[in-house]
Amino acid sequence: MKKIKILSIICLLGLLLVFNGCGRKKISLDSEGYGKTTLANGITVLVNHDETTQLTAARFLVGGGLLTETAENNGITNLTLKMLLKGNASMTAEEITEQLDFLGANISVACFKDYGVISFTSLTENFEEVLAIISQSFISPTFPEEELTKLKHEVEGDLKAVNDNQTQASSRLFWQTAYGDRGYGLYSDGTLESIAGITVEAIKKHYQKYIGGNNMIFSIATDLAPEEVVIKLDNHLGGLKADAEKVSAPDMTLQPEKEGFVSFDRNQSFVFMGYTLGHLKPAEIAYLDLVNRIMGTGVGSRLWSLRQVEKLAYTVYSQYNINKYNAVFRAAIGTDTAKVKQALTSLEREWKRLIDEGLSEEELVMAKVNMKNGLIYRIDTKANRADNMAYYEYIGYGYRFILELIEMADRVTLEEVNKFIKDNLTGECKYLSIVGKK
Amino acid sequence: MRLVLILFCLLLPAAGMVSAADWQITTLENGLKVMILENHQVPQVNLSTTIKAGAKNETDYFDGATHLLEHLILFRGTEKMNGEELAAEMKKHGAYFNGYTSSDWTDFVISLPNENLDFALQIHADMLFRSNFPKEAMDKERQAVLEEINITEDNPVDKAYRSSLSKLFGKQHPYSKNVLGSKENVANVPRDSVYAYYKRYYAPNNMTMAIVGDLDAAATFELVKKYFGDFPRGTTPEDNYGPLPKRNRVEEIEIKKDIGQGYLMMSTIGPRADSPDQFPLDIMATLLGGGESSRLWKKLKDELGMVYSVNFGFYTSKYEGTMFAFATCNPADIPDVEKAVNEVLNDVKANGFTEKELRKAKNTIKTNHFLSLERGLNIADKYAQYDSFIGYEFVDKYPGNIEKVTLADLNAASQKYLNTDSYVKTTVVPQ
Repeated sequence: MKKIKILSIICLLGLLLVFNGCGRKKISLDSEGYGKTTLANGITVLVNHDETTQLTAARFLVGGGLLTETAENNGITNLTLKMLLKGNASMTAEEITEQLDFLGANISVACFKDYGVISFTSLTENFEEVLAIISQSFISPTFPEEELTKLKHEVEGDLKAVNDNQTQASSRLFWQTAYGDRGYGLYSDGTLESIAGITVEAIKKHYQKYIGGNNMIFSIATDLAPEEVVIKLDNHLGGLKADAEKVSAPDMTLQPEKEGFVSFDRNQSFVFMGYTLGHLKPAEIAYLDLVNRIMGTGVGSRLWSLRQVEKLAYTVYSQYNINKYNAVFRAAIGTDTAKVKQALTSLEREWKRLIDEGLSEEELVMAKVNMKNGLIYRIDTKANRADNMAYYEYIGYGYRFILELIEMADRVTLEEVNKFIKDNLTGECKYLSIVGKK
Repeated sequence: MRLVLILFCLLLPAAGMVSAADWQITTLENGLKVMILENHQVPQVNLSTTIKAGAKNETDYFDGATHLLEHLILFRGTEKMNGEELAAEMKKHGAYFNGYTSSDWTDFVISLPNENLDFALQIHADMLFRSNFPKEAMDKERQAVLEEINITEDNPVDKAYRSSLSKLFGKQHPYSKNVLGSKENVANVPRDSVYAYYKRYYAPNNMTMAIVGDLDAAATFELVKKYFGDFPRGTTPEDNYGPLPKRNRVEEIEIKKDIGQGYLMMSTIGPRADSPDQFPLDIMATLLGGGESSRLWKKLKDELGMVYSVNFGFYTSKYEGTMFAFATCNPADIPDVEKAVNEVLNDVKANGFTEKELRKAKNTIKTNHFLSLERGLNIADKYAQYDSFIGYEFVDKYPGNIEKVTLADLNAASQKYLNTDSYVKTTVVPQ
């Protein structure tokens, strides 16, 4: 009798295991520990297996971001994602917050130009519990009215503070100057006016429209076995609907007015000056990265001379942003308000020099060393790997793109880089933003 | 050459993180402490050297000199090359390098491809011991530091924190100093005085160097000996420690700026780094203001809806720590916010925390601790910095010490340190 009972239990467990595996795609990893699969409801799953620590970093990326918004409902993506964690069918907002904090999970919610994301990092032993809570929130959010009121108050505070930080204010102004009050020109928190008009009904509609397995990427860097990750994810999030609308491409028409200015009574002014670029091919991102290393990444770059020799600034650098439909390459300087004119002249000079002369052979060699070393910082923590896998997959370059960029560096020629500069850094796509004292 | 290889027991193997057992530690004859950790995950090496000299070592005459010196070492050249050449060499070798100055220490880091380790050690030695910053180069760097001071003057959070220090610690205490110094002093302190300060404090026996990365530890030791072994010991002066002021009331600082919201900071003194009270206080700070389930967040934001954000911080330093509640809100609500913060703190003093809250804070702190040790550069930096004022062993023992805290410890420490009658209240409000 005892034997029969044991046999029955073994058979039952076997059946459960078989059942559990049905319909799930297998995931195989490449030599660097990266792999990809898709759940039945369309969720793209990206895994990086790394046993060096018992930490897990995961991202739930929802496509759309600011591209799903208008000037009137600007900020709704941010609010919708935050509202997911403010109540679900089995937990109140307070219970969710309490439990996530109890598990020691670092949770963040953010809205970017092309997508929104809920991120968490936790000890691996707590991963499944955190996953279960967030999944439940994606599947059965309750969107309580009183929680929206609180959230709107919080965002209002962020909006009032955004101009207290010149860098943030000038960056925001740059995008707005180039693209106006739509698409990439919008701001993730919205405006005081747009936030005031967002209702629970509007958030529910936004959720219905854009949240679904077919518009989601789940990325994870973990010491858990990849198969185990897929099974757990399918168990918790396999029930998410798969009927999200396709996100439309934005209107990318550039604004005719090329300069934006906001006045504040401060010691320092902050300037962004640079170029909006179209959608870049993978090799072009390698060129851009190399140019950026020489133009304004760190000590020894060309822009560094504005600080080192011309005494214009404490902060001066260049940076690029890659989005799904465009890229931006710009220089930034924080300078004493009395020196803004001089700073603008110097920035103009360095852009002109870059366009006229391009990089030298020696600079290209230097840029390649810096690019390979610099890109390592984007994959040397689990959080960074989870971020970059999801981001590059969504914007169309593939989840292994950083690794591919590192490999690309050595193959780039001077002619390619300099042609890229000439072709892309043109006057009609040049913009300027200044935040400072008039 | 005295080689001491120290192997420690594994204290807490949790999360597969680095621990003292993994380090190889040597003290050179000249007193330079060298810690090396092999970490072959990515082909990089990371160096961090911390000097036991910070703003606390400055007299009024040298106000801001430690930080200015950090800039001069980083950017204004050595006996072998000027600042531009140094920057170009760093760039050529793919190096990220930087420096940080605190009240207790000054820290320099380099991170670069592992094949450039020899270069890194050579230039690190030159910067730490053979900087010369000629007067003309120094004058250029003064300007960059003045710009940095302007940035912090414009930033309401920085402004509130830095302004509160002199009142909180009193004029005689070394932590009353703003690390960046005064504009007047940065503009005028003579080159020779700063150089003399450099020569006095930048002695090998006043430093800890941590090296982490894709390297061979034995070969790296030999390189360190080669580049650092010949610098002579120094005699470093004692810190300028002064007494804390006696405070029995709320002292106020109000700052007006062209900003959009109100900022409130309520600061008090906490225990020094070697006090066992710091562990319960880290837990207390997490429970009071770390995240959306914290006491202050729940009361002031969720229940009363009177703040945009609120948190509570506790920083330890060698001699004293700093504790502060910080909130952003409508400027008109600042008095109510202050009152509500004090009510939360008084409630904690009267009724204490719960076992569940204690467990929650321990989980959060443990996760954050392990996250802070994921990246090679952060590992090197953290061990070197802590070694300079309390010993690197602190880092390994930290999760264990947090785990040992009982509810009684937590509530006793909260009663002892939370003070709603005397603190420094700093507000930054729109003009």
